[in-house]
Amino acid sequence: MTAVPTSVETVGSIAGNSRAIRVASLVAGLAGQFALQPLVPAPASIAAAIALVAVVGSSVNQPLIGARLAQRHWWDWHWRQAVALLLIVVSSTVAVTHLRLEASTAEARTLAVMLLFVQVAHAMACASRREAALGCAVVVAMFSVAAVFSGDVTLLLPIVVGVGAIAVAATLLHRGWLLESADAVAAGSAATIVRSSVGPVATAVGIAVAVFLAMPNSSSLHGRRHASSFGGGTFSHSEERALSGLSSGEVDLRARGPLSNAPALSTPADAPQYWQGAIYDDFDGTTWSAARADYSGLWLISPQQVRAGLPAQVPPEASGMGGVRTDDVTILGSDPLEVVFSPGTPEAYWGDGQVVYDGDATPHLIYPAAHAMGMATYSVSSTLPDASDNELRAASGPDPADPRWTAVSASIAPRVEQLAAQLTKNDDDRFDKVEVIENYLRTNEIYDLNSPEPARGDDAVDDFLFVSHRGFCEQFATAAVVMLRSVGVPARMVTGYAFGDTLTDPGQRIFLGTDAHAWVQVYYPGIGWVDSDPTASGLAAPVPVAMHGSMRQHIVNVLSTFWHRLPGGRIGALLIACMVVLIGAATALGVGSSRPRRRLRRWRGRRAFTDSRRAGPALAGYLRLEAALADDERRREPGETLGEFGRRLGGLVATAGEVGAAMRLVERECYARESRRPSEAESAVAAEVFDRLRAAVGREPVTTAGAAGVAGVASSSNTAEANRSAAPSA
Amino acid sequence: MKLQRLGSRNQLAYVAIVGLFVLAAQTRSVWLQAAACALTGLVAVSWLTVAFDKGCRVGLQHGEFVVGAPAQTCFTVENASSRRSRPLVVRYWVESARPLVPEVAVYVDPIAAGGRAEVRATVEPVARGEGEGRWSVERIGAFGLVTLRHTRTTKEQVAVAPASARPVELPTHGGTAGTHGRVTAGLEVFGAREWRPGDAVRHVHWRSTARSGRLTVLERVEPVPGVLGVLIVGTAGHQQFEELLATAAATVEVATDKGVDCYAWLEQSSGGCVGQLSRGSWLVPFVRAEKAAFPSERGLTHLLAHVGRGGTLLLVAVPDTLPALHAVVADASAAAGVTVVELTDLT
Repeated sequence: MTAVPTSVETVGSIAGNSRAIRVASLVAGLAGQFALQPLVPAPASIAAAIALVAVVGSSVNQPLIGARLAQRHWWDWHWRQAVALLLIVVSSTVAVTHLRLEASTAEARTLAVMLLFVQVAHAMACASRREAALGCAVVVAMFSVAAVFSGDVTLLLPIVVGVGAIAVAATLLHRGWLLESADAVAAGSAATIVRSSVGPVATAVGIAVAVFLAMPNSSSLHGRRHASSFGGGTFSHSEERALSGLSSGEVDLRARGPLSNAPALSTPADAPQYWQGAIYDDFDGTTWSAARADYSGLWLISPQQVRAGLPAQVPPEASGMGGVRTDDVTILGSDPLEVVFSPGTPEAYWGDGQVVYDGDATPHLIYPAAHAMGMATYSVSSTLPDASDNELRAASGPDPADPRWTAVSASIAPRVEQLAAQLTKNDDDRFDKVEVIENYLRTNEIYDLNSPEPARGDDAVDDFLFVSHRGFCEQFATAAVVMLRSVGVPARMVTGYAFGDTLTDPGQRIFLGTDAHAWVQVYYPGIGWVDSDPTASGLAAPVPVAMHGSMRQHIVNVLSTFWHRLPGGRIGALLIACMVVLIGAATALGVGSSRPRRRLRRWRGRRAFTDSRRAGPALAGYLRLEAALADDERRREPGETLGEFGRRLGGLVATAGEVGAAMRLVERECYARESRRPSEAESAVAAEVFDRLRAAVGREPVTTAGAAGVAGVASSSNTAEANRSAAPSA
Repeated sequence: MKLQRLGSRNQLAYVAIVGLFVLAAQTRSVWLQAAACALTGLVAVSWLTVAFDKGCRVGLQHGEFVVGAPAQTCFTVENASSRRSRPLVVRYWVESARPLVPEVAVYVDPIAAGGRAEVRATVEPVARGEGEGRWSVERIGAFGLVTLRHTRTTKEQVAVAPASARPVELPTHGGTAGTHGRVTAGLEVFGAREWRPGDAVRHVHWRSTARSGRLTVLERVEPVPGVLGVLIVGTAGHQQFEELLATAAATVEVATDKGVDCYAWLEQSSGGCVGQLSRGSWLVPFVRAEKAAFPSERGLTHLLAHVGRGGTLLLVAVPDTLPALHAVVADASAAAGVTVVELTDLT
């Protein structure tokens, strides 16, 4: 079997196939770069995209050979291959020297940039199908890195586009191999193959979504290996458990990780939006820690007494002032709570477990050994400060004697204190100080769940305020507390749940794991601890969005909201996926009415008729003739059919039969099905007839271009006969 | 019809799917599970596109296969269904003990509903012989992940003729009409020769006689070698033997065209027989000669009886075996009145 394609048709098909492969690889490559976008600086991301488009664009017409490249000496290498190899070596060296085993986001940036270099360098040297396939593998590596280090819901978009492009590229690569290995081919254009892949790709996506949703425990999957910072920064798979407690005693500002979508609590819909759990007092520059639970302060009632219907547990000292409300809370998680969640300062508790009250006023819950979760609900009475802004401004009196609420870590950077002092220098009352600091944070810092970690040894607040300017609720709350404390305002950080969802279950406010939040409580004398949220848009939107949030963050919010608001939840999503599968399958299998296809074919024919760039040889020749006759009285009249026009043109230069046959070929070229299209030879004959007519426009006498080469015109009758004998048969 | 499912690409995809799901279960990573689901979707669609494809009607036509001569094989693919067909790879090969015809493969892009494609491929046979023609159609699913293959066998045996060669001129017996030659109509003269006893006096050409001084007669009968017998001894694949066989085939073809009766010793599993070579079947012994051994005495006698007195026995054998063969054949031929001619002497 011969392996070298010799026919023109085969060579042309291979060339078109190679072009399509390069374009599909470009789309996949750009999708991979978009996936890595959160990890790389914006200039590098833009430069890589431009470089990739330029490299692929310049080589799009070069064929992808299938055979191994001939053995060359190293000095025979193409200059692009040499440059590509150099780039790969340099970027790999940089990546290896900078990466550490416990790679975090900062190091992931190096890996991502290296992948961009490798991708562009590889595209420069891509000359064979095998190398094109390797380019697709580089894209898969980019998706993998993005999933590990910056996996959020927006990663789905580039993955869907990239996998689709890779599937099309794989189809074309396989086709290219078949074209080269076959002895003869009957091949169409690669564009037809690409178009026919759209339906299968859409169907594959629908099937994939359906399989994914049908898999058990999909909701418990996590995107990245690092635990949520609310889990105390420890590496743990049981995020839900750590999350439901929110009180493991530590909040590490260096930890990153997504939160579970699992439901946690259900409260009345009219309950306040903020439900506090744990309170933190001590910040050492990177980590918040809480005082240990003090077992000597056990509340009075035991679980047995609670189940017996005895009165609620009452804390040793009531620390709240304001209105009191009692709420019934349903625990939606499978693990028992570690703290009592309440909308304000807890005053009484009815429920499972024993409340242990620590020095930070966090109501911990403890259970006897081998405890099985008994009650799935509890009731809590809370004191909520009820004071207007003016009352807060007018608040006066002694602050708490405990110095920890104004203590500032020794490691705090001086410029943080200077910033706080500068911001509040014109404000005398506490309320204005709080407001000016919070406004500053909302205006100058960006909300980013994927914010970079501070370098080891650096103060997290200093890094947030002066280096990265990016963070999420923990960073905002910590910065606010540190700055307030530095100007003498008692403040503390509180973690719990905020906002929730009141639409899925009317009458109830559902808190999911993703609703976990951190905010600030500021002490106002005579009023108590008042909630204050410095995180941008913290009170308005269900998901905090900074005023200067990135476009990617906005996409995250939209998709997250869409996911949570889907009617029917996962079942609805499954039904939608099934509909997509059915529609895609129908498209792929070509089921359906042929009327749209006929209309599309007619539309394409009309477009081909008016767009000379898409014309075949016969139509191109006709359009040239029409252009030549534009100012001639013999031009085609409006509404005149091609047949009528052809009968008028037939005569001296070309007979009526010849012109009529040529016009029919033009019609077949534009409107006929593929199997009825004229061959190249027929189209060439028709084009020759039109060119003859065009040559005759405006000239007398006419020289015919027949095989006999009759020159001159003696008389009309003789010429007609001469033309008939000289004209080649169509 | 034999159905085969190609396994290499499919197996790799299946292994990857299972591996990804296992990894996803181990690490509880949503992205690994998503990747496994994506691959599942791709393989499922590939299966669906090829399972629901009704296939195309494939026709095959090829010209005469002659060793060393390019032969055109024409594949016609018709899509009679109402959907666009899948890409196809049609392969044709000849199955025999020795490779006769290289496998030819053609690729056909998807054909529109009701459409037809015709592909011509050129193949050059490498050895003569006979075999069973087979062809297969591979339908390629979406993304090339799944392929279905159907294999069919042609109804007739495929014969590859020996390479084209120049025929040799066999010694003629000549003579007047009615003996060994073909009497031509009209006044055609094929040559002049010396008068021999038995020639009619009226056939003497006196002018040539006067000119040459010897009695000369004009041959008005096309000299033919009489009945021709062919005895082939040799082993297929031996280059010299193949060349001799090609020459013998060309010679026999010319002889049969002239109407000469030809007989050949045909090797069979039951021992062999004498077969008459007609214009339609003169090629058979030359195609089937694989390992032609010396005929038995009885077989040789049978062949010589068919050739008859005055006929010619053409020996086709390599020079190494000729002495032994000639020793076997000479006495029998002389007794039968058959002239033995070694092909190596004529080439």
